[in-house]
Amino acid sequence: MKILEKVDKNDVQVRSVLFGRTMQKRLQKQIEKVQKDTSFDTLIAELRLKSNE
Amino acid sequence: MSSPYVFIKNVSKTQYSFLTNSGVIYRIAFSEIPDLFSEYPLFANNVYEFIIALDKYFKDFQPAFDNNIGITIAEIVNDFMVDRDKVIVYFCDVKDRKHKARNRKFTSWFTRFNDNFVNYTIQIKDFEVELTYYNTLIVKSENPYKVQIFEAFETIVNGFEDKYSLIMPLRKLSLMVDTNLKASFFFYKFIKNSIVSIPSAKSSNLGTCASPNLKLFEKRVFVETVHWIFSAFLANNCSKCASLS
Repeated sequence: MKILEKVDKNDVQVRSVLFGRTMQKRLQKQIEKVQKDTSFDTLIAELRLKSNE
Repeated sequence: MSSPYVFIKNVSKTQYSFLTNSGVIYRIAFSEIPDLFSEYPLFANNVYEFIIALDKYFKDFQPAFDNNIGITIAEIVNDFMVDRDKVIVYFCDVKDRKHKARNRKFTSWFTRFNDNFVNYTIQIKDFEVELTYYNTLIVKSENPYKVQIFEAFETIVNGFEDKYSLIMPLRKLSLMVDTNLKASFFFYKFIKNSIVSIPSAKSSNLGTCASPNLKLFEKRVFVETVHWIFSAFLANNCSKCASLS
């Protein structure tokens, strides 16, 4: 990250890398959010019921 | 194709879940990501980030190979993408450095189970941390804005419009020539891959990444040559596309 901060942010490759890193940070947060999301619990309870039928 | 594992979804079809034979629960989410294409109001609100996660009790679990998982996920994508205007973006997780394997698996699922979709993967090499980010876009073949969406995606990820202006008309040309978008986009990707794989590009420490540091002169000569050949072909063989040449 240190090197990138020193270079021209208008550079195409730098912009691409920044995009990649930003999306990765977002993805990590999204995965955690999905894993903690309690609205999934209802779905999973229903799923368990169905699988036991 | 029917799903081998029963899946459950919420009413808005943004959350799906299924249970495998080995007892692992998968959580699949389609999260709105309108800010990604905020400069493209025509389709910005139809873009969703595709997230595959193991249930919280399995998050450190290494699932065994299970062919049914791919088929089930493909069926979930089919179910979600009933609306032809929806667009999916998928980013391979690099956290455990298994991003290449994820990309291979996802690509193989797409190839095997794809029914009516077109995908486009852009790789970004991050040499500082020795990682490659795989960014994939999936649209329905009949999406009326597919060409604009692919262009917008490339612009957002790579900013090609600034330094690769010769590539843009080539892509438009290849898309217009063939009414089958899939075939023509494959042609475009083939050409583009050839451009970034020329010897001078490979010998640089930047590998095959789309980098402004590649020798633009060689690339332009190559692109112009291909463009010229293609235009000549159109002029001679395709009356409806003759105006392009």
